[in-house]
Amino acid sequence: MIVDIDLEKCTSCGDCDPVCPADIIHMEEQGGRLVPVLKHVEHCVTCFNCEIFCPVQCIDVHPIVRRRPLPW
Amino acid sequence: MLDTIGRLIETDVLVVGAGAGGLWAALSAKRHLPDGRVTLLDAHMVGRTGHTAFSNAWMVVVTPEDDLDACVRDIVEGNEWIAEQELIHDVLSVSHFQLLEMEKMGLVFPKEDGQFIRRPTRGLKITKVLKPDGGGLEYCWRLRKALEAEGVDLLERVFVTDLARDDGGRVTGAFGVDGRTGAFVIVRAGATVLATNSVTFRAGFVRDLTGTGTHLAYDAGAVLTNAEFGYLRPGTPKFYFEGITFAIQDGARFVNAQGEPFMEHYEPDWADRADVQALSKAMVQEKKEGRTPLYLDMSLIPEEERGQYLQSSVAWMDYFFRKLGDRARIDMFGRTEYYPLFQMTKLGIKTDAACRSSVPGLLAAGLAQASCASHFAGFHIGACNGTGWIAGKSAADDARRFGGPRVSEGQARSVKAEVSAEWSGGDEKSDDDLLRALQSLIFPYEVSILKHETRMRRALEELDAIAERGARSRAAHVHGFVRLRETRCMVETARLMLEASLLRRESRMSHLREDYPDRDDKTWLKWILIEKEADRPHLWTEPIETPLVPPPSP
Repeated sequence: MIVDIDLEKCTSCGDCDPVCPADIIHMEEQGGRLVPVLKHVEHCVTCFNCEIFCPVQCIDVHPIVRRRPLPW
Repeated sequence: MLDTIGRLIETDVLVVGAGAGGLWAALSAKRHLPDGRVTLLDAHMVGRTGHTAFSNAWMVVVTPEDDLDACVRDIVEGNEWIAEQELIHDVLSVSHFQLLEMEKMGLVFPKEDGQFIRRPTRGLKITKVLKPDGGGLEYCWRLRKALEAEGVDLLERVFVTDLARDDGGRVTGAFGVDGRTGAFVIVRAGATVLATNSVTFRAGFVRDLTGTGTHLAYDAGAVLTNAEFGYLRPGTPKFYFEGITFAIQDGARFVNAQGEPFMEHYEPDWADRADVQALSKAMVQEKKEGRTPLYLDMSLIPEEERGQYLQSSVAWMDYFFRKLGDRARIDMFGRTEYYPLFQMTKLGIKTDAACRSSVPGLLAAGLAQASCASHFAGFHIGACNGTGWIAGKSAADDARRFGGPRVSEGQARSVKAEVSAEWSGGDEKSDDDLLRALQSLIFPYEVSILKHETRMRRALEELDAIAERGARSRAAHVHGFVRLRETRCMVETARLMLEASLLRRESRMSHLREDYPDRDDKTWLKWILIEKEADRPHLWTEPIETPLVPPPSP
């Protein structure tokens, strides 16, 4: 699950927003500039797309996935 | 005045879903209708999202040196005859042409001595698979670039809620909403191809798959099939791992609580190399015999082979495995507890060999199309490639022949009002609560893997309550609305799965009945077909056609 975006390193390019298949990264204006804001983060599918396509490596995705009910 | 109701898009061919099936359907439609407009619509970003993009993109390809008829027989027999034989033949026939097209797009398929490097895949005896460098992400991106170069229009971040139909019942496009703003979108199309993948219950690796297109087709009157079959596979809740096939080829073994490698007992010929559903069925038997927990022992993989598992050419897997040890302190090269998981349904739209559904103007491609009941490891994308190409050609023909599609203003207004009403004043977590209730009902192995009439009837009763709750639920925003619609689709799929599973009184492939444990070719070489009738599923059977591969001898 996505756990951190370093807004000091973020260049506001917005590349992370459209590549999210769960629609949880929204570019929004804060303090006079566009920054990525996380919404409904519990729906993250841990696909790493945001981290992969961030040109300045300011996004961190943790590899552990949320558990679902097991068959037994 | 449709353009006063929403954003109006006119196109000759509309393709919904930008995985392998949709990408190829759009390309094929444009090639076969070069002067026409082709629009590829996706709920997210074409080329960057969707399950194909997250896969390795292993795919079946039959080259001119291969025996095509033998490969068709291999896949039909591997499917225990639940297969559209002519369509599979045509899919395999076009696969080499598509491989060469992908090379022209710049995809690199590794070669040795001038020959493509191909590997066997579990469950198939002779059919081989290969994959491009960069896996599914690179595959999807190169296809996107090809579509842009050839003039296909891309319509992104639109979630389709309904199909448009004219007075004669013909599908004439689709209605949807912008997934971010909620703005209403109307697409008027001469032909519509649904390529929206399988329905899952958001299990593990496939949490992005919801397969809503299959239910759009069902609501529009199309016939569905294969609801009783699923894609069972071993999985661990600890992490994603998509390399079991090759881990086993490199020495990994499944063992039970006593440390015994149990697969030799169930599959003497294949052992751990058996297809994933055979592995899953064996795991259920071990559970019944009290020999759980079960493990995949990756410690048997030699040290020198381990690097390939930690440095994947697929970008997300590369990130994932690099972080697994450092951040999660999980050693994947140990004994990890595994379970049989019901990953996705095989419910799909029944079509003819040209990928046309039973509803005029509506076609299906990819895993939304029900070509067979098992796709093994490499025929998922193999089937998507081929059905995409075939559906795109048929859609181009249909759009050229029929033209002038009509979308009623009355239907557009009605859909818009219904949609808008569903995300006002709702509960922030309504979709999550509904999903959890559904997962708790479906995931237990005694419901979705080892089936029994008594348990399925009980599950159907419980499902009624979940469905009623879903129908009453309202979302708080457009994000929740999309999730809610997706979850309702899963609830309806669960109903079709249970109803079809009750009807098929035998065991075959992933359909395992405790009360009917044997395969019955005499009675059950049949499709179970489903059509919506007065808001309830109507089920019936029809014999499976066997024009190319004769039925098994009694």
